[in-house]
Amino acid sequence: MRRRGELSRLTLAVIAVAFLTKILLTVFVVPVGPKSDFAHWVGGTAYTFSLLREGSLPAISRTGVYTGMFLLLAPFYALWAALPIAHPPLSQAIGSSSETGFLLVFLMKLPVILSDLIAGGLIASIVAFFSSREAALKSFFLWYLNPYAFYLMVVSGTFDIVPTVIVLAAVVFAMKGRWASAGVTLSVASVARLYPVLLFPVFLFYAWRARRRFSVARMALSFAALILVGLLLESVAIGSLNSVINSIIHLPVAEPWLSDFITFEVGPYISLTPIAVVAQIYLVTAYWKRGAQMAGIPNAVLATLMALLLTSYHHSYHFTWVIPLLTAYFALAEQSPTLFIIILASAYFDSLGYSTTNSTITLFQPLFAGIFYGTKAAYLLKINLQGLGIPSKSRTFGSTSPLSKLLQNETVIGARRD
Amino acid sequence: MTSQLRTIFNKASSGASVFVRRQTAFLLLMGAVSVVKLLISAVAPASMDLRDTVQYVILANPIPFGPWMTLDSYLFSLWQFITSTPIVPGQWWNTPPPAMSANLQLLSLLFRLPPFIFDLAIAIVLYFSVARQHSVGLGRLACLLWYVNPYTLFAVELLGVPDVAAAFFTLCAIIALVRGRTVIGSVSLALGIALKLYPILLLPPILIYLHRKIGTPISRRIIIVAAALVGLAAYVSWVFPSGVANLFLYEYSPVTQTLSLYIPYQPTGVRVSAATLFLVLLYFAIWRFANSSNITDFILPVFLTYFTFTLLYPQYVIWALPFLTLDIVLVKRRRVLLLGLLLTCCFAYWFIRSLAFLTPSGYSLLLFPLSGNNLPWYLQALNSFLKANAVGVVVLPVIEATLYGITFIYALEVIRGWFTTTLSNPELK
Repeated sequence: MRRRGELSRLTLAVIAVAFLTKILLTVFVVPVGPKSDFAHWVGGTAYTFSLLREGSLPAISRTGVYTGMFLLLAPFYALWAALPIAHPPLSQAIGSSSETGFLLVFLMKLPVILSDLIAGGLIASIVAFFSSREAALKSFFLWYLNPYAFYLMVVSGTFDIVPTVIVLAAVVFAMKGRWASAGVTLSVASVARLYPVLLFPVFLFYAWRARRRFSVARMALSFAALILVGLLLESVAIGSLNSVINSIIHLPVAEPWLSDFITFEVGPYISLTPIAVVAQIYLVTAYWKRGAQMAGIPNAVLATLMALLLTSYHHSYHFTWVIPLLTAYFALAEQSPTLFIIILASAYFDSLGYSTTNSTITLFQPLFAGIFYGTKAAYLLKINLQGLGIPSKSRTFGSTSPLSKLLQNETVIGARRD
Repeated sequence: MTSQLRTIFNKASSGASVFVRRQTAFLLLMGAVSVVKLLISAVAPASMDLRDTVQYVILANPIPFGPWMTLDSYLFSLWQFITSTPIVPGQWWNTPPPAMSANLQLLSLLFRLPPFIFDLAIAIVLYFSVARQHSVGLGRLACLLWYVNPYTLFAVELLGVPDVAAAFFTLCAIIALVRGRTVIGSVSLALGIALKLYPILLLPPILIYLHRKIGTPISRRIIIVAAALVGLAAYVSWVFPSGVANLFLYEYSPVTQTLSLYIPYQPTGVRVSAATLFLVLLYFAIWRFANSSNITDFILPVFLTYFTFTLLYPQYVIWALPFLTLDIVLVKRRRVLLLGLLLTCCFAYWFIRSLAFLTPSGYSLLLFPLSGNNLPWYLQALNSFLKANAVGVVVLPVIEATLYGITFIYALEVIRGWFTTTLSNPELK
């Protein structure tokens, strides 16, 4: 009989092997070049680190929306800078087959590797809140062994899994009623990437629904505090609060790709994206069943993000924002893997045609995009129907799959059910 | 006033019902309509679509593409054998109807004969399938609703395109599969897909229906899927060698299913096919919610949703018309009003957009002249109206919006039927 949280040796061995395999693939197999997205991230992080070493902060006008992520990644770059090895220019280090090149890639991808593992743990934690230990473990492996999720995280060269993990942490904190922690983590995620800002109303609503003393105030103040502190520090570093606010306002001009998120236009001045997100948040607050209590937070966050991604032309790696919660939803709410497989497969095929000159792939990209967006719409419909209390079949994991047999020696302890 | 209209309508209905009640009247009407269709097929000028199709045949393109053009090449050879007449390319489609010789009329009839045969075949299939399951009267009603429908004459015989053939194979496939005739149904489905591709869109709802309502074993469903894939391979095999990028996938062609309708082509930027998006969502909804005993409740939303989010060419309505007919006859008679509106709007939209169905001969497909110096005043007025700015800016968008609104509403109306338990008529099984 195992204590809660204790894993069998076999399970730990599988996780360790998967972890090491991912490190090897990430560092030695997945190619990185000096002109890749990864190189740009490392370059920005290096610039930020150099400023921090001099005692100043990067200006938002220079580093744009990436400022927060560069600050989060700076410690990892600092580790590399502190190593007693040669430190050639980044254009030479990145992609080189030298020790210094591999160490740079390893340390700069360490946030992704660790976030991947932590995300699995947080997904299992969310699932454990509603279901059995076995279901939680299965959901962990469903995420951790998901080839498409790994592909998105590592091959794209971006760091979207880092703010995603922070959002997951905020969800877990909120489910446990720790609203100050939820607020802080959500604000950290919002500084790293802009999209978590959209989730603040959802968290605020559930804080209000929690009916605990000062939960709303804790949530709101903790969320705002970090952002305000960041603004103030930035203003002190730059010397002007006005210029900081101006930089933020002019971000869509400085970062044209931000307009991809408001590209489904319904008229000359309005796009479908804000309508869809606001409508989704309204559905959650006005119509989702009150009996769900904190159990609704993961689904509400997932639905809001799905509404955002359904009505915008996002890059493939932005789908990372959604996959962890989608995995948890699939683990808890779905009997058939059909829709889950289709959405991941269509996401992959859609991403192939995004920036290619291969005419055959380009030809079929809109078809794959249509399927991808259609399955996003199907999931959004499904999640909302569940939130509205329209019954759906709950997932029961079969006991004959290899994954089940692997975990058969895990016993269910104190299963928590909604 | 309303009661007077109702009285007139009731009298007209009871008068018309003789064709349903009496076999002799029914057969006479069918015969008369057949004669009319054949006569019109002979004297009508070539439509733009027919011209495009036949152009390749008469110009002896060394790569005839597709079964339909191959069939037309045989018909052309037959005509040459019968008449021993050499033909100059364009001689047929540029000749106005009053100037067409008997030989050219024979040519016109021959090219329109295959669509007519499939038109009649659909009528016969509708009659026997409904009569066998329900009553002879309902069978006759279904047959007449399809065959006497003036839209069928326009979109089948006058346009002369192969969509009616694919519709025939699709109808046979669905009737056969619902009755457990897996082999016949699969072969018909494969033929329909090989001819026009669009029946493949019906595969998911068919499989869901067979599993949920008939209990078809998985082995038979695999056969159906395999047949669909064979049909898809056959379609690809005759389309691709004839020109991929420029003709068949991005531009309209009367004999193929233009993929640009659900793979929209834009030279830059991310492209999402709205038709595919909503079809995927519909498939999910069918899987999750559809619980009707009627196969038409599974099939029609797919057609109607597809119509709503693509450019609805007039012959595309023929794909759905047999099933719309069954829906009206067997499920809900009141939907005939929706169907009437849909067909009227589609006809009106293309009437305006194609300048009264202008053909290369200078005549309308509806057999009145549109060019020349001695046009009567009403045809001159029509020409002026169709070319007026206001028509393109105001009238056409309103009709277009109405058309797509109706297709969407009809789809919602059928979907609503998933959640109701009482039906006004026995279901098709």
